[in-house]
Amino acid sequence: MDETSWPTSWTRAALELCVLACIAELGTTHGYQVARRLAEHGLGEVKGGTLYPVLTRLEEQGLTTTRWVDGLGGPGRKLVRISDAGSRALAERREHWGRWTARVAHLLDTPPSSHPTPQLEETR
Amino acid sequence: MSTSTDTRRYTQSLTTWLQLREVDGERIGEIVAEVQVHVAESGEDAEAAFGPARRYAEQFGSAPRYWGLNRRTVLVGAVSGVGGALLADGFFASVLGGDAVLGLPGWVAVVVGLALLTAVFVRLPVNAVVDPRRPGRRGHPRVALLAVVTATFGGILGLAWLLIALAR
Repeated sequence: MDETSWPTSWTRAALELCVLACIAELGTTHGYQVARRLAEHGLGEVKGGTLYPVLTRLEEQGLTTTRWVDGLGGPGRKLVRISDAGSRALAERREHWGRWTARVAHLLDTPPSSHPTPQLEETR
Repeated sequence: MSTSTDTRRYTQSLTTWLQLREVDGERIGEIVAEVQVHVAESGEDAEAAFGPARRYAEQFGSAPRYWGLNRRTVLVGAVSGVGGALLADGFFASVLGGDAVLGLPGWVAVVVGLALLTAVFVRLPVNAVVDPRRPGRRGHPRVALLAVVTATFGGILGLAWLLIALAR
């Protein structure tokens, strides 16, 4: 599979957590930098139309703080950084996500014929 | 690759759709500024990065009320329409001679029309767009545009009324 085009449903499920993790990693950052960092991590190109509503939700949940600053010759930008509540939420969600993905990986690693369904066996 | 014209057209369209969804003016300013900053930094086309303006706006606010038939918009439309009609009718009646609508002298129709339009513009509820980078500047509120449109339409009606009256 081309790593720049993961299934949309996978990206959607993980995006909010990944964006929060990128913000924590980058310190004080801004939307376009988060998009680039997600791409550098191999999550593919996240469009502005997808990213900015996620940034808004994080801010509305109190997980990030934002402020607008003047740009040097540019249009100015909105800086974002993780809040204390965001750091706690990230730690908690990271742990939950780790447990979830481990279970998915365990399921997918299970050989297809190792647990035949008893009822189906009886009908043969 | 985006051009400033493409971005301006996109953000104007986005602003209109957000206004229709009754998103607060300060929030609209933020959403629009985010688009402008992102395309300036990425060099992407606004529509390629954010999708069609109407679709992007659907992520914010409530469903648009296209007909807007609430008491406020009906009142603004009616009063500014009547005001525009009286102003146009009174003006042309004064210039061309004769009475305005309802047998009023032309100058009375002008004064009443101006008074109605002034009352509408002074009392307009405002949802002006505020750019977070320039908080002092405010854009045009949507209901003001409605008043301008209906006043113009009323003016055209007033002129038509007068032309019909003259033809008789």
